[in-house]
Amino acid sequence: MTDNELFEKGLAARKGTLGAEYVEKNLAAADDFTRPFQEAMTAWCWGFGWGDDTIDAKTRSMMNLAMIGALGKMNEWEIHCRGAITNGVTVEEIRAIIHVVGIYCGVPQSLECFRTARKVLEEQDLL
Amino acid sequence: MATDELSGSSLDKGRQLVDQLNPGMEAVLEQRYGDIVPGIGESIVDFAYGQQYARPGLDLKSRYLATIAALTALGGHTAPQLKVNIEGGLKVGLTQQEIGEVIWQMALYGGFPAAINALNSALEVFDRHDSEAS
Repeated sequence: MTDNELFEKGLAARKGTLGAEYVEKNLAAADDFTRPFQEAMTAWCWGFGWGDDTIDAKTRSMMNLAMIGALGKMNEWEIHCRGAITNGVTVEEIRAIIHVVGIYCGVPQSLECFRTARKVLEEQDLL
Repeated sequence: MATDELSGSSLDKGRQLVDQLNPGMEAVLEQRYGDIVPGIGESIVDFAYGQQYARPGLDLKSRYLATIAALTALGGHTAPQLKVNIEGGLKVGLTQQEIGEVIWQMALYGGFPAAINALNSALEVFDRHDSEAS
């Protein structure tokens, strides 16, 4: 697969999870400073990683909420929380994932996740 | 051991404490790290022991409990420092049970893996103590 094919594949996967509007806004906002990384990340993370259908998108979203929650990167967690809902992760499943974050990474970290999840779920009238 | 018996400059107080808690530490630190960080032994004795642990207002047992809790919550990469401070905690009179309890409480704040790793560090120190005592 050429670099360009991988980028196109990644772009489709990224839009599928995060929404076309969000992704196009992000790419349009990229300047000379950030564009190389935006393009590499779209091709590599989304084309090579997410593009591998051995693991379906819903499962990948659940993995991401667990991993990014463990790392405490809450801006990204919020974006992936929206993506998880798009990919069919339910409110009950998001809650169960946050419980696991609490067990392995501590109660304060799970409370951060609950705070962010509440914001996203209320926006979408799911709470 | 009470810190109100210590006297002199912060370095003097630090050295008096180290003599009781960790004799020879200043020289060991200097020997190991002194070539790349000259004066490191004296700095640690002066700052950590003389200006922190020797302060009034909180007894040494409580200070060691706080240190053990913090190092536990930071996770497995601080195991070497955690073991040194568990040794120190035993010397100032903490029991093995008290140390175990404070580590276990940290499962709430640092996660279960961090607490389990710290319990394993504590067991290593306790085993060494028990075998030296017997």
